[in-house]
Amino acid sequence: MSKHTDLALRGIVGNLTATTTSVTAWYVLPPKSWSFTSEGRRADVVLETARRLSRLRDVRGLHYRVTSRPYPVAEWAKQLDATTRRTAGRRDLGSGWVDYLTAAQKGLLRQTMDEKVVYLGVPLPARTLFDRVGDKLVERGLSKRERDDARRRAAEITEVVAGPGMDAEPATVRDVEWLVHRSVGLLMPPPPYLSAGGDEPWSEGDLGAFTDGITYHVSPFDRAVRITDSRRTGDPVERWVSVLTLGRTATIDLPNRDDPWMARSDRLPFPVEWSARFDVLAGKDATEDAKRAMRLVRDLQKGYAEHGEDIPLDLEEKARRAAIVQNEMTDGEQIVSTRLHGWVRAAVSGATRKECLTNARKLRDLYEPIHFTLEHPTPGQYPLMREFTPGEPLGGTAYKRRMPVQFAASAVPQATAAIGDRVGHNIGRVAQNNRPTMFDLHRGPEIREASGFIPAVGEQGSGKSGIMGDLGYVEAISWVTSTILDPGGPLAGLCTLPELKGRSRHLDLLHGAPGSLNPATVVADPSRELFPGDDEFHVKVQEARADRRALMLDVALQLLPYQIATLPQTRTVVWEAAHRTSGERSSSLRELVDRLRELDDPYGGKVANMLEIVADMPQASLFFPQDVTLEDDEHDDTLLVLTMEGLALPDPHQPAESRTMQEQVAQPLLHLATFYATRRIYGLPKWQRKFIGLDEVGQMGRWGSGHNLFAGLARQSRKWNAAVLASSQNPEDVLGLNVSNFIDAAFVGRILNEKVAAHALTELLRLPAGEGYESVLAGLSPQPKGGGRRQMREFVMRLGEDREKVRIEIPPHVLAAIDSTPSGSTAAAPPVAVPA
Amino acid sequence: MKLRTDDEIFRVSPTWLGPVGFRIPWDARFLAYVVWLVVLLVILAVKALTFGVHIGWDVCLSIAATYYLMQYVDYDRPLRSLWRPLFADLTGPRHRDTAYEVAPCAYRVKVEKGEP
Repeated sequence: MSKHTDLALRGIVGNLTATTTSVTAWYVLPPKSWSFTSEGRRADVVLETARRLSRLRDVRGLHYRVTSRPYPVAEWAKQLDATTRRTAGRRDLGSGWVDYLTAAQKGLLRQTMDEKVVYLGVPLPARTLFDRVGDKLVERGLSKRERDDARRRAAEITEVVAGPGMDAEPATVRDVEWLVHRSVGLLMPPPPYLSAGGDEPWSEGDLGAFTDGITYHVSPFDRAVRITDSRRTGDPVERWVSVLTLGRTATIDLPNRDDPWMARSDRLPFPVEWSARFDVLAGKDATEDAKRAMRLVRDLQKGYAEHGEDIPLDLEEKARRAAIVQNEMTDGEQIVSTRLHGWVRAAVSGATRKECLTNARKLRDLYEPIHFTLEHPTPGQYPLMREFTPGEPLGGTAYKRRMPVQFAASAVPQATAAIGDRVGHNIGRVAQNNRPTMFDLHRGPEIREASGFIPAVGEQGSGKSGIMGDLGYVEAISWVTSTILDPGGPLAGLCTLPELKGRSRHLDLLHGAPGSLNPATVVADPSRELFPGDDEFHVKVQEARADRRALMLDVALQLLPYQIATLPQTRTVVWEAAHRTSGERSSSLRELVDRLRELDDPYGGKVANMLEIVADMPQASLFFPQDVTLEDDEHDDTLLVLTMEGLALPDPHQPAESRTMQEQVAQPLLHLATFYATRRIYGLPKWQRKFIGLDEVGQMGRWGSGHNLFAGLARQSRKWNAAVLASSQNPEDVLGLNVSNFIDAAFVGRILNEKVAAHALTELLRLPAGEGYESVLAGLSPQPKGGGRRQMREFVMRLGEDREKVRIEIPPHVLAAIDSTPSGSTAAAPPVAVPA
Repeated sequence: MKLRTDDEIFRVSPTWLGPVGFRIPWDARFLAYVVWLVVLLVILAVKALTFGVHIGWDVCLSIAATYYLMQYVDYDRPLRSLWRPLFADLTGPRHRDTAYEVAPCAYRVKVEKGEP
């Protein structure tokens, strides 16, 4: 048989909860990024929090409550879908998008991803006897006078706790209901009919959801309480819950490189809930206890002396410490004198009693290295468990902790490892706690008014190509016009994915058919859809013609031997001939040769002869089509991957006249690649989303047009809504462009060289060098035990001022398509289509 | 900066060593003597109502009980803190396998949206 027990809670009004004897104002403490926060900033947070807490002196029963809520996967997917449809400007995103989104949701739901939520309950002055009796008799809840009074007092408290350090926000009624719900069914899986977020109003029937179907099963002297929950349809869920309480604690340093002590439990793979109740005492109120302790110590010392025995050494130490504490309490500033006396509990659960007790042991073991003892008291597990629910009385007075306010503040329960914008694509997980990392590459330009330039640096094998492929894939699947310049070639595999087939293109700049890189053809005609106005369209057509002529001019000069190309006479005739070409997509370098011959200046004919000789060489034949065949506009391709596998770039330190033919041809090739990329950015309206991936920018930055492309993109990415992901082995390749001020997001992978790591830390992650972060970078993507391929792609990600270690997760079929290791499952795919 | 709790100064066992000039051969807390006395009186009261054995056994039994009880009493667990958890574990109807069940009830909780 079972008996019923009422909750002490009598009402929830806004952020206030009321029992018959008290009213508490509830606040939510927003998460604080901690892992890569500087030590100075950490100390500031603790001291600022301590200052806030000390202003709450005389509050009895301050309630810290750490619980969790599931990640709102469905809402995330709904929002991402809406954003993608809006930015893509089309309702039908194809089955590829639907499949992608479905798979992403399933992947997220498969793993535990509860988010920590930290509440702070501040009791208001106790209810009057009249109000208590009235409530007891007629269950009227809070009277109007009480509400007015509570509102006024809560406003005062809000002013205190909303300040720097705590940054608390008043909880919504929904937040409070969630807390009550999670506390009554402590560590039970939330029922599916209760959403963790959203604004849907609760119906009257939701109230019963707090408790309906929840039953506690208590066995005397047991170390765990069994809870069953039959709120779900189907079989009831059973969990065993154990409550531990904070015992002895060691001295802690401030600032500290470690996690705050209450956030340390986030390292465990199972959820841990915390409940801490404190009385906040002004120094003078806490002095009496310290004086009593001092008297006791002195009496003991006296007793030993009277019996002629050696006085235990620790008594003198205690007396000395008591004198210091007394002095702090009486003469210290408010932040030094204020004391918190209270109880700190942690709850763990398990599907079975054994698992629950194992988890309790793991929690105790976790705190052992920092010399914090977590006691597992018995009897009394049941009242301790009830203590987690707002309004319920204290479950026991054992293990009362007395601490200065700074020590309590150093708990920082809201410290968390989280990064991302919660609205973008799921690109991976935070390494520390497995929380999903959502990243919208366009949030910088569109919302944060920040650059879209995103460097990704790391040594070979650190996963740069993986992240490039992953982000390129999510952009392409979202119908963002994407261009990837990949000198190595493996990213061409993206074009073979079925969901991108028909709207992706691979252009191999070195192994195409003769004439496939005709400079005039690569410049597309403007789209009538994008420029509906006649005047505007006409201007764009003229611009396209000018671009074609300029491109043919550049390529022709780059193909000529250096000594010839640099002569003023050569430049004059090529310039003139280029401007006599039609400028249409059907023109070509052969037309330029014809125009050269038509010039009055006989030197034009000589240059034409030289270009024809060059055209016969196999490396240069790519630029000289026999017949120009026009294909569709390249804007139809959502994804364009330009590869240059085997390209021999000229050494910038060698004299230009000593270049081989291969090196000579490399220049116009790269120039064309750059031009392609530029056109796909600047040829589209500014508001439209674009993505450009530049793999191995170290190689590309060695020639002028490549350098100019990066610098331009880095500086103008925000205006053109372009997400520019630039990967390199050396941060200097990116930072040499003097764009570090524009960088709002960055990925830094494994770097073993300390000097290079220090550079990446200071310039890309904006962390101080020489404080141990170098070893964090060196430890990323560790080699699996026993050798073999690295399975994890770990990066330190920076987004604004947040930094976190994340594991990039690439959909398996995408990973198979872009695998760049020699033993990869799939070699780079052959070009799908090449314009000829 | 070093942060530490104040617990250390309270973590003292008030031990009575005996009257001046006579050191008793054991270390026991003041509280232990009080507990022992109460336990002894309870035993004597029970004995008066039931059957009688030698007083020496009563003393031994009370000492053993006190020794056992005081293992659970220290600075972190004062004597008065033991009653509530003990009471909570022992009260309530037993159910089959010695467990008892409690179903919490929230139907009396009133929820109002908006500002307080």
